[in-house]
Amino acid sequence: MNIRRGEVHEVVSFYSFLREPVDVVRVCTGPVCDCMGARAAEGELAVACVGHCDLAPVRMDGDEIVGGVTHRTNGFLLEPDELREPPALSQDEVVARLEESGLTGMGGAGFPTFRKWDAVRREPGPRVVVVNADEGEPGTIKDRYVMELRPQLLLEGLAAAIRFAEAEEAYIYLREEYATSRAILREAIAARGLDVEIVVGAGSYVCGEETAMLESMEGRRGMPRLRPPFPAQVGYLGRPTLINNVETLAHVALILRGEWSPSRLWSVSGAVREPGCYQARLDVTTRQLVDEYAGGFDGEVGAVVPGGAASGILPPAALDVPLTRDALRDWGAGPGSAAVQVFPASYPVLRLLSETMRFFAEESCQKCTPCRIGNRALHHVAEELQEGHAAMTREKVDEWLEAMAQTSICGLGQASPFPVRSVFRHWPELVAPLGEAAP
Amino acid sequence: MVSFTVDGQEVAAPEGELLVHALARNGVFVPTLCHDDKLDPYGGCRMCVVGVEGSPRPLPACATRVADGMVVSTNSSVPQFQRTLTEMLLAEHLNGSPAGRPNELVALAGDLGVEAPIVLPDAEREPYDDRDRLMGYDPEACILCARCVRYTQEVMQCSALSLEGRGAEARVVPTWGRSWLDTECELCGGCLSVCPTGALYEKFVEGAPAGHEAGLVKTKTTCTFCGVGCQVDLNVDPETKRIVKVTSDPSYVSNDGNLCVKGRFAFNFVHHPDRLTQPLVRGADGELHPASWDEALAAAAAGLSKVRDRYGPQSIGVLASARLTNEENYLIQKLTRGVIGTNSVHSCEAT
Repeated sequence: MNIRRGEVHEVVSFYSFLREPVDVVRVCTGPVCDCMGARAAEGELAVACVGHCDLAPVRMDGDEIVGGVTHRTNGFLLEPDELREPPALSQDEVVARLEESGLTGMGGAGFPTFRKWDAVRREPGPRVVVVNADEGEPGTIKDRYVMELRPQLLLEGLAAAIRFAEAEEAYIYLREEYATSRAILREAIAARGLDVEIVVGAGSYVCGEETAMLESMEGRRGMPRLRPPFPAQVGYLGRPTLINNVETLAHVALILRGEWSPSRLWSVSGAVREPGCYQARLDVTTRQLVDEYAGGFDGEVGAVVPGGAASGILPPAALDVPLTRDALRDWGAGPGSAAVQVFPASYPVLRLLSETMRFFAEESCQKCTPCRIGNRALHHVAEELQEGHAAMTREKVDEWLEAMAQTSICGLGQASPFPVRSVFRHWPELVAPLGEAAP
Repeated sequence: MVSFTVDGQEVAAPEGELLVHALARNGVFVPTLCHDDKLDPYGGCRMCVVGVEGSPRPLPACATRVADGMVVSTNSSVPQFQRTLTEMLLAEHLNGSPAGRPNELVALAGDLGVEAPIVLPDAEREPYDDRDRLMGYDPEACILCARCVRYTQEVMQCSALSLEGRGAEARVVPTWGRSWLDTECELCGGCLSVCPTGALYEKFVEGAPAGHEAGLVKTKTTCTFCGVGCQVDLNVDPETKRIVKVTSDPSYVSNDGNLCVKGRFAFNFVHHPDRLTQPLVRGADGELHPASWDEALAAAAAGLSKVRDRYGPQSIGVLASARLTNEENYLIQKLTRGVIGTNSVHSCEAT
């Protein structure tokens, strides 16, 4: 096979599903599950968020979600999933429609979709299309909902992307934990007769970062590449590669049909009566999402995470802030992957912060210093704060956060300061032991 | 050549040159730890980040190439990043001075006046199966720059070392955490030569040098093990006058600083009591007696001439030692063909 023993060792030790047998009981310890009291018993494996936060607390027995997978949703996710071909449009028309729609990537980074598409078509072939279905941001379940409820809509968007890019190969990089999605997608792909291969991940959050995903697809540790060059220029096996998130492609399908109005899918979980995935307008507030879609709050709210673990942690005062990039910026947060997690007042904010930082520390690929060491240090700082101790001074922590945000290679280390900074800002009394920030 | 600016000053460099080199030639020093000219740009330690206009975040100078009109800054937030990144690396650097070996991270921390503000509670790393006589590894001194791992993969094309795991469990280790002897390692010791912190080190078969390693005196010479002609530095302990280790510099042309197990580790013959240190000629009594080079060469010439005169040149064959240099092998064949008069000359290096 021309594979060296060292390569096998490096790869096996990187991915959790290669390190541990598949058929053990995995207990999700993502923030929502942790809040609901999930703890791994002896012989069970505590794992990072498995992307079924609407069903929290979640346990996996092998590939199966214990208790089965159910959905609570609305909007286009409930419409019949008909097999339709994307309309025949020229490349220019496609780019124009995407630009006109204002669609941005739904994975978290929010990059304008038409720019990505436009960049790829300018590169010489052969080109590749990859669907990023490695939905790993804790609290995020929307891509899974799309794959399980509207697989043909996703494949319609993918077919449009393949045609647009004149791609010779297409892949869906799907996280290992989504066995239900996997089975449904396989069927849907067969029904459509589309030439696309599902590449199954092996348990690594950072592989949702597109260059880490490419490394993983090529059979290596999921360690992000340096950019430039961008995947649109040098991607899978060195070819120009168009990478889109699952939800983004579903929107693309609707946009090209001419049936789209600006909206996105919000994953809503935690202390709400009907956790699920809901389609709503882009400037919805947390309160509106919960009251109008998710059945109302379940008890007093302690904190809200607006868009996945790396988006920030906000106080109840932010419940009426529109969940847009601009509005959340004023609160030191971002909409990220639109995963709204509501935490009850009984769940300590510092516990939430500590668990969030533990997640980033464990998932850091180790390549760059600020992410590898910074996240571990911040996890330690948050843990000590729960005891009222200061592991570092506020001034030092702020310097470290800035270095992480500015010098990390990929989004993991660049964004993980958000939750820390937002807790510093909104709960100053909790972080008082660290002392004063530098003037 | 293209021109670009560094901190407002216009400078020139060949297009495509790595920024870290272009900056150095123009007198701007940016520290590096994970960078090695022999290896592909990695950009992992982030120590060399500089501001580049148009990039939302600073870029690693070790992996960024010079382009015309580039605007580079090293004086705004860059010095603070260097201090913070150094602090971070120190926070899990439990052994800053393993056996007094040179340590680029500790030296850098000294230059920047930086100390670890915290020691990570999970900084301790698992030990490995340490059974090798020649090479050792101290996980507590490793900063995961992966120079050694990338050296094995990119230069030696072997997989003796691996980057294992992720998060706090991540470590560099001989593959599968075993001893090097259980990997495909050929004990070339190249990984030791690229380690910036002394985490990978040579176990001194000839005894540890007295005092600090930096006190060793280097003598450049040619390796005597084969005809390749690798340039080596014999590192001599000035007190005992004995060779304690062999190194090579990446600037040495014939081998780029790479060595094999013999060149790097098999130098103990030099001080061996059985080693011949002067010519010996067998006397009429049948015993070997010390002689001058002139006497020894004369005796050898006389013996060979006698055989050739009596039995003809085809009665003589010459086998050259595998440990001769290329140039010496050339002279041997000149002697054999031109002086003795036979083509029967061979060296096991010919195969």
